[in-house]
Amino acid sequence: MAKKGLVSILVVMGMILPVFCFSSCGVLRAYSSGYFDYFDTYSSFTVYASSKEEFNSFAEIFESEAEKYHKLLNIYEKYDGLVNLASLNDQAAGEKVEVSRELMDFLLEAKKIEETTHGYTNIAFGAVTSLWHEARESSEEEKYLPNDNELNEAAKHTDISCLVLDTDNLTVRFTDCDMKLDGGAIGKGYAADRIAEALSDAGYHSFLISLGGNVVSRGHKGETERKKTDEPWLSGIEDPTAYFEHTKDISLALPKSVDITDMSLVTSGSYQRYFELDGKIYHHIISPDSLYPENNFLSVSVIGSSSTLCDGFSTALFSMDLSDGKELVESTVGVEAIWITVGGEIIFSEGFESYTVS
Amino acid sequence: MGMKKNNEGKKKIIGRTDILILVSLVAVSVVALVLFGIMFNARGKTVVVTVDGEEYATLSLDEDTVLEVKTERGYNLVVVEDGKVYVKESDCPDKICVKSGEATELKTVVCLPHRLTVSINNK
Repeated sequence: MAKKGLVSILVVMGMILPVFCFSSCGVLRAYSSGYFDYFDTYSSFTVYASSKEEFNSFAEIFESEAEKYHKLLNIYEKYDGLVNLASLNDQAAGEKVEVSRELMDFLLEAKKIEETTHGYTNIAFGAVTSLWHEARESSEEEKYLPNDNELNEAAKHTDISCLVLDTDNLTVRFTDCDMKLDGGAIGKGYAADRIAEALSDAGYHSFLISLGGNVVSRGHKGETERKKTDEPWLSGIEDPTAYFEHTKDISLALPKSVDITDMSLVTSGSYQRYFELDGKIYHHIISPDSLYPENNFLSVSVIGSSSTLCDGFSTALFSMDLSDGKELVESTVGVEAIWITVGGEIIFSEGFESYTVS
Repeated sequence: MGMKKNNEGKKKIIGRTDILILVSLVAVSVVALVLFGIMFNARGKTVVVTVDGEEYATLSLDEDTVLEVKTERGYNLVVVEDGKVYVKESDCPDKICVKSGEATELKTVVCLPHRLTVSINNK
């Protein structure tokens, strides 16, 4: 009897084994999805999941977090019953405005980034960036540059210390009535960090998310809690020379890919959002020094563990000269950068090459 | 302790037949896994074109194809040529999809105004 029982157990186990392997341990599948709904850009993700259901619940978290921060950090649109950056711009100059914990956390982080980047990435720079935004959005036939007097006047209202945060009572007030917030320089990075955090908290171990030029990955490819793998998440660095008539003959020797496992890679470039006037390129990254878009670089990419910091750094480095930028990167632990100059030169920070894969 | 003594006193519980059954079952599992693995890999690289987040077309990267994508948002011409895929023409204002060149496994070509993507799937 005992023997027969054991044989049956073995037979059943033998039958279950392959089924078990297919459903859970054997084939984790990569699922991907893409959206045009958030942050005025294309966002997407890839996740290793064991079933369609697991993928669906991942997508739900991604979508709800992306939508949350898309609305919260929006400066162009207001939403019923939600205090976001647009409503702060309208109301916070007059009186204290109550905000959510989430928005307060963003503003606190934004202040830190402003300090770390020596003012080069400043969410209180909205008075200046809005003038450029209007110019960029004007019709093709009536393209114009913002008036210098207006720019100089606007620049007087960009002091981030006029953004007063009361973290105990969760209120925000502008002590400069003409100050405007613009979260564009760090918004996508911040959202990417929060989305990744929510997905990790929900138990996902292996995924890559991308919001425009902001990429964040967690775990190795196909990794689970119990099973470690060593296949890295890779990202390419876009060749920006192909986008412009005057640079398209330059051939760049870019690294084939960058290992971004458990890291974030963010690129700021002049090649996607810009307009041309009298043969000159006017892109969307406005230097706080000149109040104009600088054209020293075609793109700057930054790798590090915080996507918010990478986003803030790539924006700052784009407007800083190379030597100042290099100094900033070298003096910051865990952040590396790659600059591509208008002349087609590629410059790496000291530690960047440890991430490149050739 | 008592359990162990009992077992020692009896005949072997796992006989030769049992081992045979176990081994053959494991073998069948392994063969099945390997076969499935080959089937998945043999599918090759495909090009996936999406519009507004929905799949619009799937093409083989091994076959030269020209795909006209006409939607209410506009027109894009997707070309597969010599194992490469790119957007050759578009009536969008910024032409970023055309300028960005070929899609690779690491790079999705995107036309934001038309909500179109072209990517390579390695499955």
